[in-house]
Amino acid sequence: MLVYLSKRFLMTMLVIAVTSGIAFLLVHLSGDPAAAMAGEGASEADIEAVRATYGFDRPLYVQYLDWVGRILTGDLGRSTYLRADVTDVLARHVPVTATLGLCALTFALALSIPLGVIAALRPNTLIDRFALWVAVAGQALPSFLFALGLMYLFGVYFRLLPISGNETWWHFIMPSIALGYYATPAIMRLTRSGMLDVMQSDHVRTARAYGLAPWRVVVRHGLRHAIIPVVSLAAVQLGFMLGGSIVIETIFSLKGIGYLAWESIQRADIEVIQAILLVIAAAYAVLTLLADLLNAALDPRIRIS
Amino acid sequence: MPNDTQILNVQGLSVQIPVHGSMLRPVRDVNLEVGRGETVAVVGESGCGKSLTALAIMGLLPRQAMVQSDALRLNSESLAQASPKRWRQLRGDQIAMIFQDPMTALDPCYRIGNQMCEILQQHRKISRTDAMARSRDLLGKVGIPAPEERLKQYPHQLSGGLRQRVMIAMALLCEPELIIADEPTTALDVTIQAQILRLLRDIQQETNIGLLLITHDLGVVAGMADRIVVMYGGQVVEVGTCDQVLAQPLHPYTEGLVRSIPVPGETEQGETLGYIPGIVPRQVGELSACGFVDRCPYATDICHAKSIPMRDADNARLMRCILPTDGSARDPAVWVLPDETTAQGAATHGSTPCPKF
Repeated sequence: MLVYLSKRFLMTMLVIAVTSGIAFLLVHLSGDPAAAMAGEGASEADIEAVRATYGFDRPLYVQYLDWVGRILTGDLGRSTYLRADVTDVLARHVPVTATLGLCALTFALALSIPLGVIAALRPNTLIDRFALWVAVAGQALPSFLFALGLMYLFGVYFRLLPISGNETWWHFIMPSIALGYYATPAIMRLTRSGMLDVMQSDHVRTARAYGLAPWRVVVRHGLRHAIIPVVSLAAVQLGFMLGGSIVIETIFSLKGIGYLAWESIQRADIEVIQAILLVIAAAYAVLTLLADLLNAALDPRIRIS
Repeated sequence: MPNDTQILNVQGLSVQIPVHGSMLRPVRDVNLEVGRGETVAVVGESGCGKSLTALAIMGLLPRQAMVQSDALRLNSESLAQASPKRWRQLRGDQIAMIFQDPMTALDPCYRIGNQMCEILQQHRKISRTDAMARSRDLLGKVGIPAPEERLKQYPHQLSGGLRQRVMIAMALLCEPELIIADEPTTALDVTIQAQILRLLRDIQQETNIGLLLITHDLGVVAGMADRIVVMYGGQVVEVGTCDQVLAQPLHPYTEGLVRSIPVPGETEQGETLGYIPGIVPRQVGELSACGFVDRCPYATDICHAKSIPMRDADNARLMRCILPTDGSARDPAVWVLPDETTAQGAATHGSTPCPKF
């Protein structure tokens, strides 16, 4: 177990290190940061001055090592546009996105796992068809359209929920549903096919043959096996929600990191962009690690070989 | 057999499964009785309906399967109309089942002790500590060394033989009256097979339970069973005591089976073993002839003309055949096949096997 743990942990660190390098390079390759900072119509001398001030005249690898060195001491740099520490900027935006992502994932899991299980227990029935319909709709509807539909129905027509901002929990309901619904079809279908498989397996037959209560057979001896691939998928989906919720955050005016990234790219605020890329990459890597650990907890064959 | 010692009584059991518009009839009109302290072996090749019969007795067939019976009694309780809840109470408590493949029959996600306690606590009001203690005792009883440690292990940490012992211990948890063992040794090494069979026999004699042993292996049956029920094509074709059936098979199918077992000291090296030509027919629709007619060396016009009923034979035996009931029609010569056929049969043995023995 210890070997497994340390291996996984090292892998995660490696992934974060590599992605940090790529993030850094991408930002620097996408244009001259000094020119962008100096602004339109700046003279050659002005750009040179900016370049010297911010150290862009040094070789790339020196800049990278400098950046990594500062990150390791907890300093993510300073936003030139916002005139604030990037750490403080992120501290304001990350919780919003994290809340949104977790709520969306919770919604997705709460909807798709029970639906998937029921569909698998009663294949080719009305319930199964309904679940399929939910899945197809989730896959086919563009998320912005679904979000606008929700907004119109519950925000404008029934006036039940606030349509923009992130002040209270109420503000997170619609964005979470809009974002989570998009993840529902894949999770539901994976749950369904996994359950269909496992309910045919020998150990489930044994559980039945020994008279165990139906919910025990389904949950303890069925779902526990079927959920393992779902955990990995859910981790990736959550990572996607954290990094890719720009559309939803923009529609509902949630001040999350997706929104911040969008603004920062327009302003060429490279310290912020780099930090966001790093945070998202790290979140992905850590989530994958968590999923692996959760799976090892679920299936002893993974942790004891 | 007097009724008060009878644990299982199955009369006229049929199973029908709708498949692509037609009706599969893998079990037809099966009668089975198991007494207290008795071992009954159900013998037949793959697809003869023996496992489905067992699952029907356990009430474990899938929803779409239609089970009919004139009688299905456990002790004196009729199970034909039992509710799903009653079935669950009986399963694992009064009837326990041991499955073929111990590698997959246990849940890989839970420790042995956990799985055993779960069953015990489902059927008995018993504390976790007591359930663990009983599980440990039973693991010891079925010959598992260091039972205390096994309780904390996962199935994948145990060998196949040990896992099958765990299954047997599991079956004994609630002191059932009937154990159904469905090919309990097929997935095991030959040396382990003998150990497991001896264990099953010892336990059966010690606890005086009824044992329904389902197997395709007459060799397994020989040292174990009191009575043999031979199945072919979903029907029971012969019933008798173990010695009678093995020494003097009445039904041509049984005769073919017995001839296909090599006998140490008698079977010459290089000698072709007896085998039954042809393959098992698909079981669709009503029978309009003897089920075995296409493969039977004794078949007559009568056999082609109508289905054959079960009838009494000498020494309280039963047979589903029109041959004389004293076995006088048996003729070793009919099983000697022309050389050409033999060679062909041997060559194609992999693809169209006669009974898997």
